[in-house]
Amino acid sequence: MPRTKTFHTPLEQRLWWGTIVAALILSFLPTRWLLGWTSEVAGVVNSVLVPFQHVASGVRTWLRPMPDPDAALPADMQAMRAQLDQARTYYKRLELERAALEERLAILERTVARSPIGERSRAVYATVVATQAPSSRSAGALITNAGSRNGVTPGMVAVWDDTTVAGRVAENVGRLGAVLVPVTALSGVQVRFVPPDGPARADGVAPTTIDKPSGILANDGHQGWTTDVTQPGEIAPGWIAVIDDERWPMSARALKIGVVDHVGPRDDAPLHRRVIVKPLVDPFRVPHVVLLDDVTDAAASGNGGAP
Amino acid sequence: MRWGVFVVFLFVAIVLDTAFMQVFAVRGIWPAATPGLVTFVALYAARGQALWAAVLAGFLVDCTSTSLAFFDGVWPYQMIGPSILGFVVGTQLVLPLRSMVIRKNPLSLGLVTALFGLIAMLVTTAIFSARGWYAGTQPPWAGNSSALGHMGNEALRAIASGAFAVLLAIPFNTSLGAFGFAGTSPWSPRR
Repeated sequence: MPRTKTFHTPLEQRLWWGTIVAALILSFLPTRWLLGWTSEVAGVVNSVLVPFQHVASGVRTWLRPMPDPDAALPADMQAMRAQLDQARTYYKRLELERAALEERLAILERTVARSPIGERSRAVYATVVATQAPSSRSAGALITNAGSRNGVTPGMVAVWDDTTVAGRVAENVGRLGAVLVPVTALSGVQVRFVPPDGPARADGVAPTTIDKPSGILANDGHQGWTTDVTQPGEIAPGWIAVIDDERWPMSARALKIGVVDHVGPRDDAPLHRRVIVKPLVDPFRVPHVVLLDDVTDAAASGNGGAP
Repeated sequence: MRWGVFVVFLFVAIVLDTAFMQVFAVRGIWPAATPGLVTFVALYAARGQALWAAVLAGFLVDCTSTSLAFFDGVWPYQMIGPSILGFVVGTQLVLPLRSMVIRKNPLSLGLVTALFGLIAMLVTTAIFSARGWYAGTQPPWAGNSSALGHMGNEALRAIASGAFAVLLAIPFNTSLGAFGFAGTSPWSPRR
């Protein structure tokens, strides 16, 4: 009986030999040429398989669990070892908690020490747990895990890195959390311009900035501010804008808010200087802040702390 | 042959091979289900279909086996080709044998699967040996044993796959109607 043909049409035959030649070529291609794209091809296949593989490996582990090296030990030895492991885990957890608390305490102490009113400042440590990015409808917001329960009150100043304003606490502080208005959304803040090496608050004394030119920052809608300065006095790009606003808490005075990006005469009023200020910190990337306020009689009785 | 049914069986076999079959491991050797399926198809399907089924199965096996390249760091990649060629050569061996065995006997499937696995192993080992000369490329046995040791392990694996195929023959034979092979009816000409 004559043997039937494997492939009946020439097209089928060509396709077959093309596949075999392709497999041969792929088998002997230099390895460098296979990096990247082969993983992507396999990724397509594996993306379908992975959920089923997960179930299958779960069944496999259930049927044949990994051998326990302690299984051969006597029962009391196993119990002691388990207790030891538990104690070790507990000790490690306490160590980590202590390190985190020490770090928070150091941040709080540094921030309070740099405040012009020192110990009369009230500081609350808060972690930024969520951000709402700025959009065409909103200037964005930061949400912290410290609220009225921790002593947070509206108007507190959020400080990052001991010296830089990251935002202010908005009204309606919740019990467990508060909303921060990011520094880039603040407007109408009175500032003074000091040279970059100017503010020295390490000794807890506010620098004398009264002779420096001041201005009121107006939000320019592009994550920055502009201000028109009429007073004499030098201002140059790179100078720092520090808070000098009586409506802000005393403890926030002389905190840095922005850096001078450009100084030039106003087109319509050549005697005025227009100063463009950019924020020193991107508030949406700040992981934690210290919320600062002045100690009042009401607050002194229920001071907060780290949540 | 109904390709949809084959693809479903192949999918299950690949999932089992990559995530479940280690449950049968004895001294680091465990069987594979895919060779049994490809052999079963080679015993029943038309020649062309059996060869394409081997290509598809080989492709999936290659896609689910990650190799490592060493160029300024470790790079994972997929070696697509060796299993395709191995399975095709294995199928070419099974095709002339199928007229000599009682196809419905589970032991026949087991024996032919073991032979299929041995032939496929020879092809893949030859390719990996040759690739061992390439820069940044190590064969699968590098660091553990020699090529001969690897072949010994793979031969044991082929035998284990043959033994497992004896069990697989039961669901496969039950699904003969679903596969829709030509030639499984008494009045059909054998291809």
